[in-house]
Amino acid sequence: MKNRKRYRKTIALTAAALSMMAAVTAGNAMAYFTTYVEAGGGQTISLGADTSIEENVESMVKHVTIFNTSENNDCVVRVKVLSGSKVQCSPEGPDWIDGGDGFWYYNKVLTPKGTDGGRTSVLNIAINADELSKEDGSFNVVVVQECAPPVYDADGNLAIFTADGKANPECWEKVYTNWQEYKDITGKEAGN
Amino acid sequence: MKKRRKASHNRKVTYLLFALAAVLLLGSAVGSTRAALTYYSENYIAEFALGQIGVSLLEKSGADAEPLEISRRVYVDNDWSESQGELLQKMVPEGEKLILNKRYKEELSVENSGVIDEYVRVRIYRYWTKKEGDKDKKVTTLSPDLIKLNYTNTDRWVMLDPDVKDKECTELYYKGILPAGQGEGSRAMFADAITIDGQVAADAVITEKKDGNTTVITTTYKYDGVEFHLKVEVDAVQTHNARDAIKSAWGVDADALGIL
Repeated sequence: MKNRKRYRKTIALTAAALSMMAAVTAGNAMAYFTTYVEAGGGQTISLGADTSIEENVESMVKHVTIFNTSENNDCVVRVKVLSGSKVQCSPEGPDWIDGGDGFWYYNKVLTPKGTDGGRTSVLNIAINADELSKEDGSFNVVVVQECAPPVYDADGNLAIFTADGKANPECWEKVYTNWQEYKDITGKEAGN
Repeated sequence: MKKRRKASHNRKVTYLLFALAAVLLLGSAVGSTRAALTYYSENYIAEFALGQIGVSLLEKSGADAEPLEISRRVYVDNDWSESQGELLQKMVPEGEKLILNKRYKEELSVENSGVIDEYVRVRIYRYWTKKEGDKDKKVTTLSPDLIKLNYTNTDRWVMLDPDVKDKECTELYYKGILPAGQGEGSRAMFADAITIDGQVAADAVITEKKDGNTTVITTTYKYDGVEFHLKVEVDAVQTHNARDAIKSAWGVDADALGIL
């Protein structure tokens, strides 16, 4: 019993000696002048958009307007008009550019719902159905609309238009080709 | 008799250990006394000046004409003078939205704001978070490489493991001494622009809904609402006894890095 007490004393003294040694060594290791600073920051990425399409037909002219219905996100839109071989359609409208690939491109970014830039100007589609005979009956003119997040180049210019304001379908395809693999194009079809 | 001899032996061990402890104590005390004596010697002023180490992180972003000090930590009058700000606050002009693929000005520099020369290193963290309730949760499925910080002045900085992809932390070590004095001569720029890659919009789920003659196709982007983060840490260490100081403070071999 007594011996155990003595050993405890011995162990305690040894531990004290080792702690002192450690303290002396640690003091040397920390003897350099150092300093540091840090700072951080971030930004939120808003993606995706939703659109609605409004169509009216008056005197064989279809008037198309597209609205960005997203609360937060911008988007770009393009429109394709499909009709039978005997029906000719001629779209035209301010700010709408013929891409030469069957699509008509709106040359501005649509800003979110409720903002001034949240809707396109009207695309007027004149319909010529003179070639149709009575036997052909009724006909369909289908408007396909696609929207996608605006993509820019390094200088901040919209990538789907060239510097001189022309539509750049190749770039739209190029930019969104990768994304199509993921089926990321938002579109709406409307017909009557 | 045997018992007494054993007790006497144990006592001897105890005394021996006690004496050893006393010698060690004395040794450390002598060390301190010697340090104190050096401290109050003729070199006193020089020794004191050695403590005036300081470093600042500068940012020039948006329409800034000059780099602005974001964070600083300098030892002045026996105390640390420190401040910490936020990065990227002017990256996107007010009223505008962040544009994917656009190159934004983000000039980041280190400044020696102390009165002694120093070695510096920068650690840059890039990562993504998404709000879940009130908390920001890290998004580990998005690569940090989509946050493209354009490193500049690359001949003056040594990047650790430059070929490793998708790493959250990038370490840059400044080659040589960053001299004291503040101003142009005491600054080292390490980045000049930031771009968020459009690929962040690549992952989406598409749903199709028929409504009479109309088919509505809706796309939900997986990473809508994510936040990208850039965090910069700058460390500085004295140039006196640099090899050991760098090893001790940063845990790297300065010779192997080629920064001395």
